[in-house]
Amino acid sequence: MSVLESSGSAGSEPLPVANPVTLSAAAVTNALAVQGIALAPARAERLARGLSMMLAEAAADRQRLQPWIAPDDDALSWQAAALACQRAT
Amino acid sequence: MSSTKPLNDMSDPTAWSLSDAARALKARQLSADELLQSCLQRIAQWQPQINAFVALEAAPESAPEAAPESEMAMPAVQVPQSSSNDQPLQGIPLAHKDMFNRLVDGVLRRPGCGARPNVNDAADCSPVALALSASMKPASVLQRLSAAGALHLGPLNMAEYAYGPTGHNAHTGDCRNPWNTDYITGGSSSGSAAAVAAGLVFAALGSDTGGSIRAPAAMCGVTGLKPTWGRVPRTGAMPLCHSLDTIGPIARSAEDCARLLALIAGPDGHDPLVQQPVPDAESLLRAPAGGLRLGVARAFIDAAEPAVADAMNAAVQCFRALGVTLVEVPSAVFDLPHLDALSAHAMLVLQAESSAQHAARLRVDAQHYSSVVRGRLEAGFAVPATAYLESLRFRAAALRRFCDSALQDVHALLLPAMPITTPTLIETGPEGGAAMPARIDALTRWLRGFNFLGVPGLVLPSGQDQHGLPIGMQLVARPYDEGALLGAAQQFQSASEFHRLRPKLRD
Repeated sequence: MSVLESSGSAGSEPLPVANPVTLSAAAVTNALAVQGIALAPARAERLARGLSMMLAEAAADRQRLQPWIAPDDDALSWQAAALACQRAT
Repeated sequence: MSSTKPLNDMSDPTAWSLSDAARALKARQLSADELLQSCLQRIAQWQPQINAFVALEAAPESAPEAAPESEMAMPAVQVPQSSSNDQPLQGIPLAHKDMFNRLVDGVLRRPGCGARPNVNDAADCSPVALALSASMKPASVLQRLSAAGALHLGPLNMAEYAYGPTGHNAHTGDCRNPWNTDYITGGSSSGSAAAVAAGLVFAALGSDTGGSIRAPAAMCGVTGLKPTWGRVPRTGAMPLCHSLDTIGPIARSAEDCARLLALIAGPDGHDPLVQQPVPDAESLLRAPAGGLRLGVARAFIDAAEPAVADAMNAAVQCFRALGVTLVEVPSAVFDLPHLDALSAHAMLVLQAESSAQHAARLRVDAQHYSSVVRGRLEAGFAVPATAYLESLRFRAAALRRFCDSALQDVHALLLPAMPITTPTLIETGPEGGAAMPARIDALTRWLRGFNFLGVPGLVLPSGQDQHGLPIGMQLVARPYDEGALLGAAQQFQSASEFHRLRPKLRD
């Protein structure tokens, strides 16, 4: 089972990024189980809801700001961006 | 650099700022031992009420006895007599969040990290060593403060593994707000903010991964600086989330924070993230050429509780009277949804990295953690790797966008530290009811997004709520421009008294 399941379109249609992303409690439980962490069912339900909202918000934000993402952006480019963004003195 | 006000209470040196105390020592108005005695006396009075210290590790032989309810032992260690009086913090009593490796009488001590003590708590078996594979080096920041002559009185209370915004702690006991002990201090640097606010020490270091310096500074009425990510070396400090962790000072004024930042920042040869040299304190506090320009994030002021909005509007008027140029930042440029989105990225990164940090221990010893922290750590295991990496990849773009829009024409952005006033321990604990999760989320909702950007942020007191609890305002600037924050805060503190207010001990 995939951890992420979209409640949007199915089949071969493309899935818009901003569609609500839902994460089921079972998927969360499985995701933790394969990493050796046991999870109580009540926790899985709460965790799935919270994570779904967070993932959807981050995905929508990336789509909204896509024009700002440079082709060579990666985790290390924060330092370069920070230097470029410094206040001119 | 000069004090904004003369020393106004010679009878109680614990009321002074760090800068004033350093000047008084240098001028030999009192001795380092007298200063330390004053702090220890105050610790004995306040510790039973606020639980700011985990332990005391340095005290003079003539230390006053602790109050009967305090179980804290006071070891007999004298103020070093051989040190020169030229060091900038010579004889200044400090204490720090219990997350740093520290040398005590030449022996390396690992921090407790607000965690459950181990049954076999040998030196190499401390909670942090087992959980985190942390460095065995002493913390660079403490070494630097020691070299500057500071005294470290002992480790301060904190949220378990720095993973909590309230100040509750199931293992070390809850830290309580000196202004009213029914209320939270904020976290995770709870003891740091409480100790400085109560006058137990002149300043304290904390760490800020998602608001953990700024939230307690706001709730306890002190000045807290989260420097730029990568400004201050983290060598010898407990890691929580590499991509967000930042060490910074909590003190009673912007001037004090500038002095401390100038001492603790800059490359140490161990933390590869730290490359930039840091200006001296005088430079950090110097007003920008052409005058200070602040962006007022109106949408956040309007969305805050009335007491917070009133304090912010009064602060805006104060800045205007000081001649600061104020620019209203339109909602289209920076609004609540923008910061909420940054906050979501911060949470993804925090959860994924902190869970990886604790994974080894969580798999074999889940009972080591309180249920609240265990729940937060479990969440990170369900964050998809792609989502985590996409957020990290997006970080540089988000920073560029923020600087080119919200900070385009100003030195710093002004907004409330929190949308709500400080809640009580009950309201944010297990008995907090249905509103409790949203209340806890609100404590750092307007703080942690700036951790994702990596920019510096500063919180300072700007008012009081209807219960007498402090209200904090937040300033945010471009990377490595802590000077804009400190300069703006110092201007405000030259014309306001909120940072000089002191809590009173309850009977």
